[in-house]
Amino acid sequence: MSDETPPKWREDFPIQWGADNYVTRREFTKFLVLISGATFLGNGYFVLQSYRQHAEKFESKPIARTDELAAGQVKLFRYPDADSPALLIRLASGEHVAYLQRCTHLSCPVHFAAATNRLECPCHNGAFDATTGNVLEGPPPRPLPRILLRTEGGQIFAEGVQGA
Amino acid sequence: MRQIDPRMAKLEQRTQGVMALMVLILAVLLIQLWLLTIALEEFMAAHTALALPTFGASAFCFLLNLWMLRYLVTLDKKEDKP
Repeated sequence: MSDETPPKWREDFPIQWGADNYVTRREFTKFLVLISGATFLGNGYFVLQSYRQHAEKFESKPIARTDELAAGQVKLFRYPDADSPALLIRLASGEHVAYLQRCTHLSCPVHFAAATNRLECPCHNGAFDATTGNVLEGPPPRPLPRILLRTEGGQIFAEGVQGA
Repeated sequence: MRQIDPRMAKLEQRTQGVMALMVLILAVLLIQLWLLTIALEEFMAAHTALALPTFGASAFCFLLNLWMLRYLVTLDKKEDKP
């Protein structure tokens, strides 16, 4: 029997049964449980991140005088760090609002259109309501992060970031 | 009349048990992946309210999978015995 020539089909399928990378159902099931553990840890990561966001402390920083801007005018500043451009806007109503300047779609800088009271992103035509920061149109998935303001002694202070 | 080998019947029963277990674990894992996508979407939208509930549900699913895996390990040990 040992001198028997291998069948023709063996040339096309030269892999021996023993050499095949064979995964048993049990091994696969154990692997699934391993993935299950990794997914659980992934959810844990988001819990840690949410606690970190809550614990984040922002410093108070003076950004403008209350009489510095006329209605419809804008002042650029950086908050909470030097890499985060932000806009201070005086609305037609006289109220001051401030937002981070990065569009929540792909981080393009937004600009204030006083005529329409909107913050517009030129990259993909996204638009936000200047009064609330909510998305009005376009692809941005969430409102612009709002900078909390405090007025004291004729000075406007940035106090924190909401929704970053 | 065909004689059924009791050892083969037992083996087949165990194979079906392992298959059923695998399908159940896979179903629970799919639920976990869904929970993970919810947590990710909430995180991207800067919301944190669902982070802890999805984590808790995922922990429950993982413990359920571990409990089911225990059955498999017990089955392996039984087969190892002469």
